[in-house]
Amino acid sequence: MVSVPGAELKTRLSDLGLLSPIDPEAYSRWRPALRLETIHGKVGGFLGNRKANASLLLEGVKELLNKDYELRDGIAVDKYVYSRPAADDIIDDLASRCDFVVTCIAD
Amino acid sequence: MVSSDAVDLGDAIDLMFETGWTDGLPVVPPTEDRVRKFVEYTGRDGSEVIAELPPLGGKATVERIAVNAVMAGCLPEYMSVVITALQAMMDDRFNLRGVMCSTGIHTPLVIVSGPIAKELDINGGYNCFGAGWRANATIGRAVKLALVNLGGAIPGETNKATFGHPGAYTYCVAEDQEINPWEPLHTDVGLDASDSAVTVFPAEAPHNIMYHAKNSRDFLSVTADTMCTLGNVQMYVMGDTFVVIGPEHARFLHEDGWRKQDIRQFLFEHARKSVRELKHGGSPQGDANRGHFWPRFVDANDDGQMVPVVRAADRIHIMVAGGRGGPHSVYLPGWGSRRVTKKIELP
Repeated sequence: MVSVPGAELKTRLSDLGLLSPIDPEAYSRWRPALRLETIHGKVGGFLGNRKANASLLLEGVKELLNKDYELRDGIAVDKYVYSRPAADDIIDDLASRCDFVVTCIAD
Repeated sequence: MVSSDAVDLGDAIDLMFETGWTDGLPVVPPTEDRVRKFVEYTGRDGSEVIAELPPLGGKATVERIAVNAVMAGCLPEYMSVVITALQAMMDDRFNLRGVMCSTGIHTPLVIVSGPIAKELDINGGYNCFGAGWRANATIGRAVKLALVNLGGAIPGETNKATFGHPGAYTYCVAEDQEINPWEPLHTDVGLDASDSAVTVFPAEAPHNIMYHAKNSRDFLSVTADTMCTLGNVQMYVMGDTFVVIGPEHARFLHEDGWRKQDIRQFLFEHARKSVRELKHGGSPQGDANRGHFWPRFVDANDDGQMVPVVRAADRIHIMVAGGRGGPHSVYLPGWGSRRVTKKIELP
């Protein structure tokens, strides 16, 4: 796990005359999304990577969540290319329609 | 300011381990004065952003790259190569995000060609993929440290490589122009032979090709067979691929009149497996009618069709390196993206 320099680490680096090899903003920019109190009755998105095993896994997760939490809707979409990030239009569409999104890697 | 002499070496090394900023090996403490020398050598401003490295998008400034290069054990003179390698990897054709986060076993390889390879003593001869040369070891390591520390490709977290690769510590080699009977690697992309350049390529570990005789066609048939095994990811993802021809093999190929484009064409036509055999590799990922991203001329529904290892002959890249006297060449399977070559701009 990479450490982002807080006050104590900055002091230790300074005491030793060392510089940090990281960009702290890059690490602090990425945080887990806010957690919902419940997903009961919510709209779930299921973002696949176009790989056959990922589709199976996501379909199974979607069925389980539907059974246990009575989702209002489940929206399954795939990225255009498995080795690339999801395109903005896919992200925007899921963000506008879903309360939460599940994604996975499954090769 | 604290000079490097005043730093408690043990404490500094321990702190680098504690913070998770090393590759698992000790690093040279990146003291302010040491880093400043590296930045000054480049002639650039330390705050200049060279790249925003994926997956996390860390800003790789000249100073931060210098910190990672110091840690790797580089000399200041290596900075131009390290910077050029990172710039080349940002080319969209390389798909650095995918390269660094995939479950595959590739890792970025840095290939240096042109006069700078000799000037910096970057090894392209005996043991060129092995240990023993400071330039190879530390340039490759600086790039890898930057990709992890600045890019955030953290093993087991954002980097999902199933097994990883020994080259994730360092993977840098030179093309040896003294033994290369053909034009340098970087001329493939239109650079002058007198230029120095960095080529980056997501490569698996070298796969040996042993061939004891001196028949060009037989050698290339052996090479083609090595390239198209059923477990080779190339057969399913169709990225670029590399053949590193050893000096002995290069000599008789050249004497027989084979040019690099002839070699590429031969390997494209002969490094093939049938659709029937490739079905053992599992169902296609992507468009089922196109198989595993195969060329359009392959009918994925015809078991008898032969599938090449790449989509087109010019996706097979040829370079010359290795020690004299051995009957060896090597094959470097890729991953699914392209090789990128960039001229080195010296300070």
